[in-house]
Amino acid sequence: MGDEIIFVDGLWKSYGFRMPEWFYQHGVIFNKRIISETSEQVKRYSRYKWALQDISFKIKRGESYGVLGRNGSGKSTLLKILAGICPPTYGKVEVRGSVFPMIELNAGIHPDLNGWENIYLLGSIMGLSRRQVKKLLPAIEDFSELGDWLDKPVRMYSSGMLVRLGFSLAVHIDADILLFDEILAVGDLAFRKKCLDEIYRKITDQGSTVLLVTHDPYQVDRLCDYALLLDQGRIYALTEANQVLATYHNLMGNYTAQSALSTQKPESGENLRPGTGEIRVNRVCLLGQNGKEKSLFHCFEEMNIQIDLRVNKPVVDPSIRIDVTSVDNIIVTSISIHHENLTGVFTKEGEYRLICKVPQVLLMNGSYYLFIKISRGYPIDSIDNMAPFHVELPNTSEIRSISNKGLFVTKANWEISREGMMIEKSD
Amino acid sequence: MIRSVRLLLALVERSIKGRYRRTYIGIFWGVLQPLFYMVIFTSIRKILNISSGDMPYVIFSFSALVPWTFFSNALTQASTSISTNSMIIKKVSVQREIFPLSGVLVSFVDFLAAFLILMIMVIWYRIPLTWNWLWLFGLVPLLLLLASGLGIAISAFVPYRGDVAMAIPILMQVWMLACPILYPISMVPDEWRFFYTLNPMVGIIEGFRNVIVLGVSPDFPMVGISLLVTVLVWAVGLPVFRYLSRFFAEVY
Repeated sequence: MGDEIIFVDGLWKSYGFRMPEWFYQHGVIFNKRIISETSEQVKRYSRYKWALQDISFKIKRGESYGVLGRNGSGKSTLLKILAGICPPTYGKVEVRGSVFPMIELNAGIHPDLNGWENIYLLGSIMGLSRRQVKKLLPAIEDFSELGDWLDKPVRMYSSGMLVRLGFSLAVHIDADILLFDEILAVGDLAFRKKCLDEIYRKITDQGSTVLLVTHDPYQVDRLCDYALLLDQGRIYALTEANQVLATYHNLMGNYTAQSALSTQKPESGENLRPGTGEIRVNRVCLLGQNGKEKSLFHCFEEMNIQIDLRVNKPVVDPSIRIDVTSVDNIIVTSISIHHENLTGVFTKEGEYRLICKVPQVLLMNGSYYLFIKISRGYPIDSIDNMAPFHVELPNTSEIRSISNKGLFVTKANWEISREGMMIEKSD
Repeated sequence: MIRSVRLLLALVERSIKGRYRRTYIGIFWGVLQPLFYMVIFTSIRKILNISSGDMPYVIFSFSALVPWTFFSNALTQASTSISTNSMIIKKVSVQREIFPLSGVLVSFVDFLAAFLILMIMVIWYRIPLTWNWLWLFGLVPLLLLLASGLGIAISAFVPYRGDVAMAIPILMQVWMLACPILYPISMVPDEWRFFYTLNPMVGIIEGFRNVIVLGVSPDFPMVGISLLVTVLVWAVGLPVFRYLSRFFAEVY
C-alpha cells in the first residue's frame, strides 16, 4: 500500500456489452451456452476475444512507465481502463488520484468556433473551469505559437495546428497520473521536441506518474524508468526500461523474421518483386567467423554476409547495396559494392555467390535485418527483411564502459588526471 | 460531479454557438419549425373541419406546438447525442447522462425563443394574464423532466442498435398526431379518452393551452398521469442508462 497510486490485480478485458454478473451467476440469461459457465471457465476456453488477460501490476507515485507492444497487444485498452473509460471485465483496478488521459486531445472541438472558444470547450472536456482556462490562456497562446490563427474558426486549421491547439492546453493540466497514447506521432519536429521536454519536466519537477504508450523505443528510453511490454494481451516483460527495451527489440526481431519468412517465398514472389529482374537474390544468410550460419552476434565479432544470386540475363556493371536496418526502421549503416568493381562479372547466366566480410559488428544490442538492392541506374532487384539477426553485448570486462543506449558501439578509454597528474586509466 | 455539470454547460454552449454561427437568421431557426406547423395546421383545419371553440385557431395550435416541438426536438437531439459526442465519450470518464441532457437543454433554448413568440401572440390577441399562469412554473419543469428522462432512456440503446435513432423521427410524427395539437381534446371519442390520456404529453399540452389561452388551471388528473409517467421513466431509464452507458466507449 502506501505510495502505490495504481494497483491492478488479475485484470481481464473483453470488449463489448456484458450483462451484469448477477445474471450469469443466477442463470437468468437467454443465451443457453452462457448459463453454466463460471468466470474461470469463461477465461479459460473463451469464445470472447480477450484484449487483456490476467494483468497485474502496481505503480508507485512518481514512477514513469513506458508501455510497449505490437498493434493490438492491449496497450490502449489498458490505458482506457485506467482512465475509467471502459470497465474491466474481471479483476480489480484501483487508481488513487486524478487521471488525465492525453488521448484524442481534440475530441469535441466544433469546427465553426474559433480557437479561443474551442480552448474553453476543450478545457471543460479536460475538466477545467472557465476561470482556470482563463488563467492559462497566455501560456497556451505562447506554447501553441498559433498567434492570429486563434481568432479564426478551427475548420481552417491544418491538422498540425489542431494538434498544437489540443496539446498546448493539455500540457498545462496537472494531474497525479498522466496517460499518453501515441500522441506525439504528429506535429513538426520542433513542436514534438517541445512537448517531449514538457512531459519530461512534468515527470521530473512535478513528480507526476506517467504511463506512455508508444512505438518509439527512444521516447521510453528518454522518459521512462520502467517499462511494460505487452504481447497478445499478456504481460511479456515488466521491469526497468533498459531491460524491457532489449526484450522488446528481440520480440520485434522475432516478429520481423516471421513476417519476412511468410512474405518472401522466393518462387511465388518472383513476379511480384520490384525491379527488372535480370538478377534475382535467391538467399541471404549470415555466417560467423567459422563459416557457420548464425543469427546471434556479439559486438566486435566478425560477420559475413552471404548473398546467393541468380543471373538470368548478363548485366554489365550493376551495383549492390546492403542496408542494415534496425527493427524500428532506422538504417543504421549501408554497405555497397560499386559498379566499377562488378564490371564484367555477371557476364554469364547462372548462380553466383557473394560474401561481404564485416570485420567487426559495431551495432548496439538489438535486432536488425538487411535490405538488399541491385541496380544499374534503374532497379534490377530489391528485397527487404532479409537475414534478421540479433546483436548482444558480450559480458566481458572490456565492454563495461559501454552503456546500453544508442545505435552503435565503440570502444573507449578513459584517462583522468588531477592537476596534470594521471590518477586513473581504464580500458 | 461539478466537472460533469461544467462539461454539460460547455456542450450546450458549443451546440448553440456552433449551430447558428454560419447562418443568417441564427436562433430564429429554432422558432421557425413550430411557426411552419402552425401555418400548415391553420390552412388544413378548414378541410378537416376542426373547431377550436372560441379561441383563435392560430394561438390554439401554437400554444400546443411550443411544448410539443421542444419535446420532439429534445428526444431527437438526445438520441443522436451519444454518436455526436462519441469522441469525448472515448476520451474522458464523466457522468454520461450529460450527453443526452445537453441535447435536451439545447432544444430548451429554442423552446424559450418560441415561448417568446407565443407571448407576442398573447399580446396581439389581447389574451388576459391570470394567476393561473403561475402553473407554468410547474408545467415547464415537468415537461423538461419528462423529455430528459425519456431522452436518457432512449439514448442508452442508440449505441447498441442504430435503429433506435432512426425510428425516433418517425415515432415523433405519429406521437404528434396522438396529442391534442392539431385538434382539441374534445374531439377525441369518449371511449378512447382513457387510453388517450395515458400519453404523458396530453396532460402537459392541454395544461399549456388551458393556462395560456383559456386562463384556467390545468386538468389535474391528466397532469397527474404525466407526472406519474415521468417518475416511472426516470426510475427505469436512469439505472438502465447507467449500466448500458458503461460500455459506450467500446460499442462505438
